[in-house]
Amino acid sequence: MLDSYIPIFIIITISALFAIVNVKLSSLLGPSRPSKEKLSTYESGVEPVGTAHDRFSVKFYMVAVLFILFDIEIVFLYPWAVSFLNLDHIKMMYSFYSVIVFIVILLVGYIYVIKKGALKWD
Amino acid sequence: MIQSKEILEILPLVILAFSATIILMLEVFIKKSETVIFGFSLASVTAAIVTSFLYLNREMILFNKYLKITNSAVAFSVIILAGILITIIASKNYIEKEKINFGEYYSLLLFSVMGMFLMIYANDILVIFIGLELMSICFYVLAGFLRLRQKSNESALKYFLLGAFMTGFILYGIALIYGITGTTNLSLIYANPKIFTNYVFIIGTGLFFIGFMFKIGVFPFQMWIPDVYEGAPTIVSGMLSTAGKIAAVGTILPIILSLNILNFRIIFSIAAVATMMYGNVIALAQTNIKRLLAYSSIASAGYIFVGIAAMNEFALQGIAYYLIAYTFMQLGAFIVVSLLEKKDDGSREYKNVDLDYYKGLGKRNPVIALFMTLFLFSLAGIPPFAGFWGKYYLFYAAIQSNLIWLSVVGIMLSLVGVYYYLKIIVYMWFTDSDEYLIGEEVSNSGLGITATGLAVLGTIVFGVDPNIFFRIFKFIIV
Amino acid sequence: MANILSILIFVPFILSLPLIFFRKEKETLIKVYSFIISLIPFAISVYLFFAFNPASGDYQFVEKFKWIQIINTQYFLGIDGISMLLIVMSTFMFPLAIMASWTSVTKNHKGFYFLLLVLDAGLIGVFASLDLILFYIFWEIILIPMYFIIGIWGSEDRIYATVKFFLYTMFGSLLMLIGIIWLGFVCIPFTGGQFTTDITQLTEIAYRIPVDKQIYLFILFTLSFLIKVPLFPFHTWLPDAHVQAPTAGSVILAAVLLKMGTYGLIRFSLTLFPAAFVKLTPYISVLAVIGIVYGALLSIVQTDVKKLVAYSSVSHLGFIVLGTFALTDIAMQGSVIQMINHGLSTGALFMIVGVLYERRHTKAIAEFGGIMKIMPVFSVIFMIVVLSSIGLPGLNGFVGEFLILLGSFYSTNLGSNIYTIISTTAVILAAVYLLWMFQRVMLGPVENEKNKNLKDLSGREIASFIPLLVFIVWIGVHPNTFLSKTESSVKKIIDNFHSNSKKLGLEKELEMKLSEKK
Repeated sequence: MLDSYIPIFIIITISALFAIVNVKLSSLLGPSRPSKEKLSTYESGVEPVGTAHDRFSVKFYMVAVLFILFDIEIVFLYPWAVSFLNLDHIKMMYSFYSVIVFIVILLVGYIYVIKKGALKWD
Repeated sequence: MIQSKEILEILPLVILAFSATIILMLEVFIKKSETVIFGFSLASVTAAIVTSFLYLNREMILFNKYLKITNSAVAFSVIILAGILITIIASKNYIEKEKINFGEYYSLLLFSVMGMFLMIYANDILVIFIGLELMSICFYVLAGFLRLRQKSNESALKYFLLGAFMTGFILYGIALIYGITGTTNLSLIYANPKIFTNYVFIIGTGLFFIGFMFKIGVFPFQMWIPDVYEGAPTIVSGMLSTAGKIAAVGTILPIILSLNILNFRIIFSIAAVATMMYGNVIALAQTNIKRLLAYSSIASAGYIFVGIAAMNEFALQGIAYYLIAYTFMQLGAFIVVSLLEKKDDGSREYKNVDLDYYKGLGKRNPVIALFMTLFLFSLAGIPPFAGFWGKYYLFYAAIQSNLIWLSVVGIMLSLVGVYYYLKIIVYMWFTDSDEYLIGEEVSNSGLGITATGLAVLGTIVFGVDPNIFFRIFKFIIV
Repeated sequence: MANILSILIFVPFILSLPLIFFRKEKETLIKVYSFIISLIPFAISVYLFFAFNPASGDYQFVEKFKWIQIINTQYFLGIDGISMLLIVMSTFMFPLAIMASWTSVTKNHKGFYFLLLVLDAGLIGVFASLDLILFYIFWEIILIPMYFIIGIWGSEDRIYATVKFFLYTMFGSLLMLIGIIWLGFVCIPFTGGQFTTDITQLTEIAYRIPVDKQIYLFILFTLSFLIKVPLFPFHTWLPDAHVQAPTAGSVILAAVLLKMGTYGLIRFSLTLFPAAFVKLTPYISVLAVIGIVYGALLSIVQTDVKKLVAYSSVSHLGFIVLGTFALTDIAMQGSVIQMINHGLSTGALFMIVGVLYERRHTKAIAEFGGIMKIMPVFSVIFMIVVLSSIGLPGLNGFVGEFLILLGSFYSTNLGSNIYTIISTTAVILAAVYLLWMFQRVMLGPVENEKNKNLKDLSGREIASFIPLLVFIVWIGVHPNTFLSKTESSVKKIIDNFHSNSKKLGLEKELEMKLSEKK
């Protein structure tokens, strides 16, 4: 029963070996001549300023989370839109109303977010 | 083929979903909306209870076999709703007192109930998973609802991390089950009993059950319970320990009964014994009432597992009865604790939740103390309260399956439990304390007392007439 | 009066509820009200006493309703001679207990009398139930009022005592609960596939349970009764509970609560599991004899009056257990009448201790001496009660003890009369500890200054003792009034046992025991 998994195991083993061997090889074979410039933090060619551990305003997270939320919901609509025309009439109506409900729920969430001021920056 | 009218067959779910979203709208569009939202959520839960009864004795498989309405599912959902109803009534005064009076609280409660309903009505493992996640995420937020209080944050974070970890188990289990059976539909899985002995399937269901044992709080997956219940807002702890647990039990119980896994009875029995022992013994050493009730809820999970280990027809009824009794007494006890809790004064700790506070309560506040005494006697399993019948039916089921040893061990461990319940009663009635003033605690909590009264009523009615429950829900298995 | 037993149970309970609405300050009203309420069940039980047909050993005044269909549990009440006498005795004790606590209970009157009346209802329920589940419920309900009575109105160490009392009893009764359910399932093959907890039905079929299972079931049931009795070595809760309890609590505890255990032995352990009963007789009778002598010896060395009486209870109850296990008509009759006697005498003794305690707030024997000169009326009553407890012919204690010793001497079930011979020594010891106590408390010169101004009994106190004295003498002089009521019930139990054991071939075992003896 597990026979069918054997190729997967082989692939996993090979890829793991490949990655490890290559990384090790490059450090073994490659020349290593560190200098101050090479060890410094790379920041698009600009001189690094201050520490990298900076605190962000929570608003960034808020926007990011909301973005992901609505984004994924939009993504959900693509497969629906593609298959919509292939459905027969009854199923078409059914799926149409289902998506209406879906959109309404989204809308409620959106209104809630707006009204709560989650997208206000100041 | 899905039909539009099927939406009418799950009215309670629809009602809950709609009211939960409408509450969000009420919250943002109406100023001073707290009372409106409170009334609205109360009405919708009541409506959900009433409509639930429409589906009694109507076995149905709906939505492309994704949902299945059975009598036991209806029974469990009504028990949950009863618990939620009491929770909501008791919540209003409490969240006002703690200054967390937001409409979202009710919305989250209703969404979590919707998740529970999905779990209980599910006929597909994935639907169970979706319901579980919906419920759990609401729980995580509710546990941290007292956001200015450190304990509450700690509780939410712990709950979230461990819960997410355990969700992984469930998902992995589902994946294995799907891998070996090629379906996630429970009816199809049951129809193929040959697969039950396959070890991948066993591991899969094992992992699946482990996730649920975590939610129920069965040894060795109980470690989150005391911390979470201690830190969460008191009413929420009560809700978590009743409704949350009932939903998880109501989900796995039909599955266990259908899977016919009698070979694994010993595992369930050992889990039951270990849970009862852990809960009851550790509870002896508690000084915080919320932690004590948390450990007692672990012990209760052990009693429930005695019924699960019985795995016979009566077990379902016995567990359902225990759960309804448990809802009233455990929730009632938590509500009493919440009533006595001190008003929020900006501190980061809960006040008045030490056992010491209960010293002399019988003199300071006889009515509340009397209520608490009733709940504790019921939890201790003393007739004529509902808790006695709950335990009676569980042990009845166990003895029917010839698990005498389990019954004797279980009942002796429940004797240990009697001791710490008695300890609180001793504190309340037999000792005095000069530290606290008379009547300071329960000012302005008429609704809280109403909720406690309802719980008392349930504890007594289901204790004096145990028949009433079986008259309402004539069970048909799975 | 078809449902007179239900009325009897629920009258004290329902009529006690109005007490909640009484004003706290109206103490006298509360007391008078509860006293009158407690008389109602007594009146009804007196009616029962006369309406009871002594010729029949069957259950009378039967009430039967379906209660919980799913587990085939019934609301099933009925009494035979034994339970009838015990009901009369318990309802008789309650008005006296209320009188005895008239002035000794000083706080929270409402709660106290309410709990007493609930206790009354529960005790009647225990003796009247004919369904095991119903019996168990009443058995457990009793714990709650008793727990509070000791815990709130007791003396210094009351919390320890009451929790110990609760946990000990709960330990036994939880095991009994398992036993009840298991018994129901074990009997399914004999009932035609139905789970039942109906005692009348089980009595007829339970003897067919295989002996090994019978022994387990017997232990599950009997342990609970033995703890309640209490038999050595389960007796340790008793002195604590007695010493700490208020007077009314001690009186009810000694007079009625302990009888629940001995009643259970006769009603359940004997009738349901005859084979196990015979098999385990040696162990339990040894314990009973140890209890009889040990209790008596401990009584001698007590320095506290109440503790002395408590340990004497252990000794007296041992007699009752021995009489039950002797399994002869005479001994069983003796046991039943001794249950009543012990209730009257020990109840009276506890009331006497209560009188002393109320006056001096101490129970130490050394604090007293020469009270006879100060309280002459009291000393007469005290003397009669002490003599009755010792078993002086002409008073009630003699009848019971004599019947038990007579019946157990030739008992085939005990198999040897050595038990009886050893137990007889306790009768002498009883005279030692009780008379010595009487001498130290009542006789001699008045040495303690505090004792000089003690008041003799008030009218109320005398009134509370008179009914007890009447029955102490009545049973002593004419025990037949009561013995005749129980005769056919006892006979039926014994006959039932013999016919069942014949079916099981137990007779052989009994004969073997007999031949060993010879």
